Amino acid sequence: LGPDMKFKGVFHPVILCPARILEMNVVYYTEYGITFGAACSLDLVKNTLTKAVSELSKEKIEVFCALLRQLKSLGGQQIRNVASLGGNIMSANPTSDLNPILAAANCTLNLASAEAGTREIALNEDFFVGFGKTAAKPDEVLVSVHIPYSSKWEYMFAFRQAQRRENAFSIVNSGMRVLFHEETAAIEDLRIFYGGMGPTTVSVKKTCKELIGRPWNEEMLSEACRLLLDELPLPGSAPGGMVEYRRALTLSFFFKFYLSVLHRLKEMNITGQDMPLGYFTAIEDFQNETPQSLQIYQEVTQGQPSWDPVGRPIIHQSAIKQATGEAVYCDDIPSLDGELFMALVTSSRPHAKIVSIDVADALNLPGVVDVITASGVLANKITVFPLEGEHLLAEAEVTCIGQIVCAVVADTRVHAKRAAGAMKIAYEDLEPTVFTIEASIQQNSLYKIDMKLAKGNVDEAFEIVDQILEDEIHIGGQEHFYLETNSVLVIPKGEDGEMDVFIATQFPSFTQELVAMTLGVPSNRITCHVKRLGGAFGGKISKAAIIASIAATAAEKYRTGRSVRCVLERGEDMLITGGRHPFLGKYKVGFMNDGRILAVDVSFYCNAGSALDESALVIEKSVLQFDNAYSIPNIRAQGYACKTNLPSNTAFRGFGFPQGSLVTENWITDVAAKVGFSSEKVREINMYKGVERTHYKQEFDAHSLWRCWNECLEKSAYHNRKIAIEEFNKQHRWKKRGIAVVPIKYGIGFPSSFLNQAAALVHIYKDGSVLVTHGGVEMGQGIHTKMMQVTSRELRIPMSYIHISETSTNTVPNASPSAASYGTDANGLAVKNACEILLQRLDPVINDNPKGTWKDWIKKAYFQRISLSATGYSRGLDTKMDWEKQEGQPYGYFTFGACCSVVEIDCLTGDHKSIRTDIVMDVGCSINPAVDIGQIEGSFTQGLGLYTIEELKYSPKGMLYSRGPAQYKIPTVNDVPAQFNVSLLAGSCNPKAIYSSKGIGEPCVFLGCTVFYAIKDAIAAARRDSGLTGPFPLDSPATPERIRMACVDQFTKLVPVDEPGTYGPWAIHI
Amino acid sequence: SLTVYISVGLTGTKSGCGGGGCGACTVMISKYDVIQKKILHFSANACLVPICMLHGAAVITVEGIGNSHTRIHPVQEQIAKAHGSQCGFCTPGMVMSMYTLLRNHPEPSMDQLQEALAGNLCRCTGYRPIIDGCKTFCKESACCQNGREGICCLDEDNSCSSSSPDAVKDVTNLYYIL
Repeated sequence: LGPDMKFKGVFHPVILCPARILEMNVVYYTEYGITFGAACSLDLVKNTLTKAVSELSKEKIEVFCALLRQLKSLGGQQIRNVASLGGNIMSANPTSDLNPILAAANCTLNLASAEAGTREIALNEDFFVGFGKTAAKPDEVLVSVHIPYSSKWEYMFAFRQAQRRENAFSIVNSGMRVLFHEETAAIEDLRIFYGGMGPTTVSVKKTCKELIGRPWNEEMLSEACRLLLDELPLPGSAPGGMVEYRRALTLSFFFKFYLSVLHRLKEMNITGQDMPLGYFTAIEDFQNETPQSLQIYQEVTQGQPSWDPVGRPIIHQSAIKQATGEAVYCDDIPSLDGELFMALVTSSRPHAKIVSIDVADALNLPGVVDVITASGVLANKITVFPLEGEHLLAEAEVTCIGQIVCAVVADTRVHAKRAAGAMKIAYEDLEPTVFTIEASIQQNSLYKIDMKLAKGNVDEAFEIVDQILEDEIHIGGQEHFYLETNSVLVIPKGEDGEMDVFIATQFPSFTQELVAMTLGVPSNRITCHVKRLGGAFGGKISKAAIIASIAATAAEKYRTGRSVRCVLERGEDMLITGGRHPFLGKYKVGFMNDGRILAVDVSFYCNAGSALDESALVIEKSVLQFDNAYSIPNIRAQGYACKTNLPSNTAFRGFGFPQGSLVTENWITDVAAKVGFSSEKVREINMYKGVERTHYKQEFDAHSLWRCWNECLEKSAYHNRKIAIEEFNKQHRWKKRGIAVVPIKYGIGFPSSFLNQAAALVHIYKDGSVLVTHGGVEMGQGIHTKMMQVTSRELRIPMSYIHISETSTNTVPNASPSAASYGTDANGLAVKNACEILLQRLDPVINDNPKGTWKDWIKKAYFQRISLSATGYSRGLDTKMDWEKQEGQPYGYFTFGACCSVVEIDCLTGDHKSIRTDIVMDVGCSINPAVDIGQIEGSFTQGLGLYTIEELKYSPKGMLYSRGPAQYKIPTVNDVPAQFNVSLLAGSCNPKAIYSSKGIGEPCVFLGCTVFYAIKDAIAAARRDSGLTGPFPLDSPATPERIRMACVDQFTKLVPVDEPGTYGPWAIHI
Repeated sequence: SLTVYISVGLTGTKSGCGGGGCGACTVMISKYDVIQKKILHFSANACLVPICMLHGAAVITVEGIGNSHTRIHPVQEQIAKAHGSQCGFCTPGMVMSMYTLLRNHPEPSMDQLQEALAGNLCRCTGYRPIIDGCKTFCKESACCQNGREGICCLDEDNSCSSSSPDAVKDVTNLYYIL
């Protein structure tokens, strides 16, 4: 009921909780099996079965083992503790992991009703009558479930595959049970149920019937495959999509079942059927291994005094408060008297004229105070960077599903949301609607941005090269999934148009500017406060300000004059605020047979959505930085931003680099496959060497790049590991391992040089305590901790004297966003500057009394009327890019690194497991190695998600399906590499940033691609077993679906493929 | 749901998705089980717990196990000191999952640990430091390669939060300043 009430707005006036009824909680053993009360939690079932398995004889526990296999990964622990066995059965979800097993095992259900008393029915194919519907009568309650023991010569196995291995709904699952005639391999009885292959758990009765009596051999297997495909005709337009993959999984599972049973029969010396040894490892599931890790810090310089915290692994300034729950986030601010809550109403059409907005019904609902539409906003059209030309609220037209049309303000959250649901907006659909990159290229639906860069002469080079290859790769988008959704609290002060805005944003000065613009007041009336963010990753720059401005309008004196809070639900946040741009990279590469790449002609298309937002800058970065670590003599690169009817995409950690450079690594991998070298050799041949210039003529030294590369090869024992993997792959037919090592060169700083500035304000109070304020926002990256370290070193005082309270626009004006991995560089120098000014003023006092304490000096300085407050300023990097001349210095410097990953894939299901990752990063002299390694590991994991399991799903009408963690899977604790080592390169320095450090916030997202290319390496090994060599396409993310379908084998060849255009697919690739 | 109920005044329990998918709102529920005749402690997503399910039950939120004014709980301390909290929004949920595990298994195995945390999402850290902090409670783990059997280096004054031989050695209590 919970999800229906929460997500579908179903209202139940009374809720009963029958979980305490005794009969529904008991567990008892009978002669034939175990009976569980329906209210028993899945955890209790799991524990009971685990105990039974350890106590009972082997032949009795087949069903229990199958159930345990699924229970292990069903939901998280929190879910299993509360979810009940009965609930799992009666909700009759077609992807229930337990129902196929319970049905295959002939379980029985005890139902009871007040009128008809109790009855016992079989849980079989007749029980599930439709999606979410069972054969139980409306007045019947499930009391208990009887799960039988298995008998001798009976074998049972369960299978499942989900987007993510744990805590994720299955795509397809199955329970399969076979009974043999005693002492033979002849099938006496066979029961197979599948989940995820229709609106209910389905039985493949016909197949089973046909196979009864047959011996367990290969003819039976091929017959079964044929029958299964016949009996499970999943239509091309089936909800959930991935149709061919789901068909393939039904065969893969049956093959695994075949092997598993064969293995058992062999143990009993029954069958003569031969099977290559390398086949049997297919039946083993991936297990979680004990995670191991190593982090290697740099030494601080010899002679650094012990009080100086720079370079040391100081813990995050508010880590303890965060762990105790005391840390205050935006929505934790207590509500004010008379506070209102704002809920957003968004467009349900991808492209339409707004005919009318009927507010009457909503206004009549209890608690509703106001509805804000575009006409109610003083300045709805945005005139400030970076959203010039966009609108806060839709005016005459909507251009995507999820566009904000209006906002409802009410006395409580519940009232506001109810009223938002009651808003009636009439639309008139407009043509055209464009969603995919391909369609927008075809229809020329592009934003007018001209991003072209050339070096050398590509056309001439194509004439002289040995080989040319042309291909493309599509890279899916990514949701930020910061744990704290966008939140804002606006408090009008009642005079002169003043307002306090408490908001979760990376760019407070932009929110200030936009709110001021919207209300038509000068910026000096608006103060933005940011204490901390629960994650941001680029997603709280532009969109947060829009929401704040709408809330400010609602709070304005002449409307309500009351404070207004708006906190997005996860689903709203995912729908409205956009994410990382999906990319299409088309390339033509000319190369020599010795591995040298001489020419590249590449075009990047990003799906920008219905508004430009920062897309031009994203595409700029991909065109500028796609060279990654490679020196290609002839380059032609162009970037385009596609205008589509989807929510506008925005900044996301890496900002076009993870997409552009993935395209690069793709042609590197293709070239390697063509010339028959290993891909790391092609990388080495083409990497920058010594002092070189990029394709926009920025000079840099690749010395550290090579140091990282060589150290990474050494630390990962790359060459030995590669040999071991080849050996492994020879011995395993259905499990394959792969390895990939990738270098990185990442430019730091904003190419628009005006953003490379920062300021700080440092106060010293009479008691000696120091309050630091700077323009950077704390979003978990530890910038406040680093700024305290800087202050401590500069003022030569312990960190306990220093405090940072918040980031606010009334202490530091016009601050740049905390973005582009540049926060510490810019703000660090500003804080340092302020401290230097203060220390200079204190110098005479200190010289007077050199043995005095800090407190003595401050007291003295105060009485001597020395100012104890200073602003510091840093005029940062002088970056520039001249697109006319095709040259410039868009980045201040480069952060280098290298990463090697090893994975194992299950060729039959498409599952994968990260075995090991080694990263070596050049971060200069780290200010805080623990924080920097936190950034490296965290961004790597985000990249791992981006390139493997995180997949946004859109309907053919442009509606986002994946609006929560149930549909959108970010990595969990068991998805990170089992062995995960990170080292900071020793002895590196960087004269261009504070204390010789380097920016490290974003680069390592891209290193997640090592997992992608290791998967691709493993797939290539699987394809070789099927006789396929040479380059093959693999789009990102490498989901289980893509992995399985790329591992072409005898089963995938059987799967019928629907002709495109003959059916309406459930989802589209945007 | 329970989230709404406890959010009045107790803001430590975070709301991340409202559908039991992220674990940010994890709390511990204790209930007397009439069949097993003992009190059961289990973790739950507060957002999925209807109030009517809590008849006769006790709920412990992150505020209930420790704070920086009186005393912090070792779970809170170890996760923080191992750099397992970056933005911190998932941390209270992680803490409560781990706390519940320790209530039921004072010296858990690594398997139990991984199982207990699989329902908690973190977007910042990549989990490694969270596991490092939590595994100091496990029997079989030497929490860092420097550590001696059964002794966690994080508990000592001259602690070293790195596991490398070439790491900084002269670390003092200075690092644990709030």
